[in-house]
Amino acid sequence: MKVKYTTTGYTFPIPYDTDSPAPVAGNQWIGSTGASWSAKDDKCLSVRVFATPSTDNQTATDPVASSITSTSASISWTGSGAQSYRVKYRLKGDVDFLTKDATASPTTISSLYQDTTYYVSISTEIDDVWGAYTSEVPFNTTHDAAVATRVYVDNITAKTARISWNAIGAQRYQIVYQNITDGDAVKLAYSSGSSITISNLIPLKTYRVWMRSNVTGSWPGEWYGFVEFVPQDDRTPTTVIVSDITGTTARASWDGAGADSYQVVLRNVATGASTYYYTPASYRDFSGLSPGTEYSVVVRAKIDGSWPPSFCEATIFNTIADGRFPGDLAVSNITQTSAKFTWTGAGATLYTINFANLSTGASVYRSLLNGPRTESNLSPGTPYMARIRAYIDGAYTPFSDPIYFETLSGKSLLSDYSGGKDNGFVVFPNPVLEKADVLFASEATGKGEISVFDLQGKKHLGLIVDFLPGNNVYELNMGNLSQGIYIVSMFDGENIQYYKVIKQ
Amino acid sequence: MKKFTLIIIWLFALGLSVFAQQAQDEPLNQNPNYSKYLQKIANGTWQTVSDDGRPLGYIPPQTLPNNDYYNLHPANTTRSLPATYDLRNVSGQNYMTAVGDQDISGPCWAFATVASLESSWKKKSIGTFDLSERNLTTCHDYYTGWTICDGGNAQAASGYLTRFDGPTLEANDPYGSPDCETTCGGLETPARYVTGALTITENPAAYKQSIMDHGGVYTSMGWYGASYNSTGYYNPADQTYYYNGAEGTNHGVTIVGWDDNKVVTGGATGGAPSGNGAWLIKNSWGTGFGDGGYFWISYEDTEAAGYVSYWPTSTSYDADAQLYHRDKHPPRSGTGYGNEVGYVLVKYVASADQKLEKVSAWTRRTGFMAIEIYDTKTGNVLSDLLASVSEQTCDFPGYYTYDLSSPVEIAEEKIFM
Repeated sequence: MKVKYTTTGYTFPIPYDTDSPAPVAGNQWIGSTGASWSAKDDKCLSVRVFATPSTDNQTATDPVASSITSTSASISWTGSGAQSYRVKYRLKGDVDFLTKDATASPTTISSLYQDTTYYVSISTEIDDVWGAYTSEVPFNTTHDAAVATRVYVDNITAKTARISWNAIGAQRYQIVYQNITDGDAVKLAYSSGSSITISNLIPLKTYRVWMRSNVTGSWPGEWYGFVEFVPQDDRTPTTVIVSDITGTTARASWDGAGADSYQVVLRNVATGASTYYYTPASYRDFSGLSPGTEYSVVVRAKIDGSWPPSFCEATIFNTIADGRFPGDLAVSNITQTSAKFTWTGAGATLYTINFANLSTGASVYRSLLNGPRTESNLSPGTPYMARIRAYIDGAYTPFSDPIYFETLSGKSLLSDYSGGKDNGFVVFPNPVLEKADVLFASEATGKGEISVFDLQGKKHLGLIVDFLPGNNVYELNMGNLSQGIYIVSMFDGENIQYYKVIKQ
Repeated sequence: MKKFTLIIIWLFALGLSVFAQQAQDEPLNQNPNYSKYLQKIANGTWQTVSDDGRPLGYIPPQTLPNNDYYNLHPANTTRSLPATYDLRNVSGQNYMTAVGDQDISGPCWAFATVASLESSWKKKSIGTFDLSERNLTTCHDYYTGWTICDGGNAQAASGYLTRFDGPTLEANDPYGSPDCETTCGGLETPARYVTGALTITENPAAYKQSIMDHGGVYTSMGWYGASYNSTGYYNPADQTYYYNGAEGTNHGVTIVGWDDNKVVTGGATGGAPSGNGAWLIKNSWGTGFGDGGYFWISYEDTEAAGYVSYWPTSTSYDADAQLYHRDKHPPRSGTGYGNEVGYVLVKYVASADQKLEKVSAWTRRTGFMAIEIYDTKTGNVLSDLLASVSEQTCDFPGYYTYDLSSPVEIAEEKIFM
């Protein structure tokens, strides 16, 4: 940069800074006339330039559509002087696009569909290289009132449908429709109004319809519409409504009627268990549902002897939660001959436990007002199944999912020694200060419980043990018990032995 | 003999011609207060705090710009100035920001600079800013070896500001509790770019017009005597100060108004001046001093307001902008040809594809400046003019920035001069 300093009446001192870093030699000059220069390489002259990043004024940006008609639009952009510009435009929803090249903004694109959304973007060619397209900008062509650009289908029956369009005033409208499921030949219909009903359709086939408008006495090349629809048989269910929902019951009804049969599929969403029902009616009542459970239901109709491949759309519903409903059936305290059943839920009229000996098939239904329930007289070493239901509001709930368990094997200690044999059940030492050994003999493998009671019957200790054939020894820690007399018991699930111990 | 004489004359004329083309140092306006500063440094009497412990910190610049024709511009001679003016209340508007407290010796000049900038930007509706004195005080890099406690002056501030190192917001570099070991913690994003820096010497009318046009102006003064009582040159009762000695300047403050009829009582040592009239000063000793941090200095004070500096123009921060410069600080010297005209030519190389938007230059005298940007230099011939700024009037010495009427597109690595 050349700076000319001038003052009046005084000599002019060309300013420089003495303490800045030394400048690059050959980059600074001073002069008295501006016509000849002397290098000033030792001091920093005080002249500066403020610069910002260059803006590329050739590359097209910000495309804008203006002067939009039903068939054309003027596309302009910022940027000029490039080798060439390419306008790319496409119909909304289309992947394919058209282009038009131009050397400057604006340029007009034509032969557009009216009342249609287009997307436009621009690329710039500089030095024989096309740059990236700008972001797409949408615009809508206008609508000629007589030209149909939107096609609507309604009043669809099994064999008819009404076709309407957004125009009026053309000499004639040509409607084309085709069964595209089977690839049938196209069919034509004509109207001078704004709608027409087409007939002789085949139910459940997919049809496509499109049209054009003869406004000036000749048919244009532009087609609009391309709408698809499926004629529905009025026997076909399309929507299922679930009503009258309680904890265990509900009714599903649908909008089709008169089919050979309706197949209803009820599915427990959580478990995936499905139940199939068949009915000629347009509804189906469900009972025995699980309260507080999510179900889905779908329906399809058997029409003219065949089932369609698909169901109507599923409807989801939830049964009402019921605190009386039995759940979480569990079994515990299993011995050789007994087991304890527990469950959640209370207040039903009746609970019924069904347990079955899976070896013999013998089944027992035990009705109870409430739980828990300990069943005895079970067979040792035997697999069992158990399930539960309740009688609520005058009806049984469905049985719960079964649970399985197996009673303990082995023989009863006392029964084996019931003949006066001594199985050696003894607690040593006695009196006991802290720890004592419980000794006994068994002829079989089994499970039992060693317990310590005081004389008031209060249980102080309990020890579940797995005993083996032969002599068995288990340690009891009675250190925390107060001084006194205690009864040590040995229960093998069927019989019980006692031993009196003094705690010191 | 006659022939010999002719030869001598010819040689003499030739010598003059050569001499006229030879650059030589131009006389600079030496600052007498700088000499006093050096003298006091040498004899150990330089004060960085007042007699009663108030922090000072102003170091007089070695030279002051030549200001011989400050009123060269007609507008400078036809001003009508009010008898009183107070930036705290201009038609109900308060153009001042909070009073600072420098706490330690040294940064008075930075507080005075920031006070000037903040009031200027507030008055011009640019916004109310709280700018960082600490960043300016520690990062100005004007003289190697100056610590924060040594002090500084407006020239140091102008270098820091016009090379776009600052000013940054207070939040970016809070003042905190600095000590004499505090150093620059790094440059921060400028709140704006300062594009102008002017200095006016010995011209009260021009000071006033600048205050009215641009807000508070930085100045220097000599603070002597006590501040808590009236034994020296200050009278706490009416917050007036009058110094009539010749010890030199040692404190930087901001002039924010005046009252031509202000009665200055001053302290016991200096007494009262002969006439009325005083500058309204914003100090940097907190609001506990004076009138909420403000006080008055008599027009007749022998050290105060010998010159003022201010930064009248600025532009928005642009993270992508670049400033090409070789000088880091305001000019501390000058050269010339012994006439009224001087030319400078500086070459830069574009570091990216850019638009040249503004050109800036310092001048040490009032006068005129014309700038041209060329594409090519072949020997002594400049060609391919890219842009120019027609001759502009520089009313005061300082730093001027001019917009190019049409930005110049310049490609990366392109040389321009």
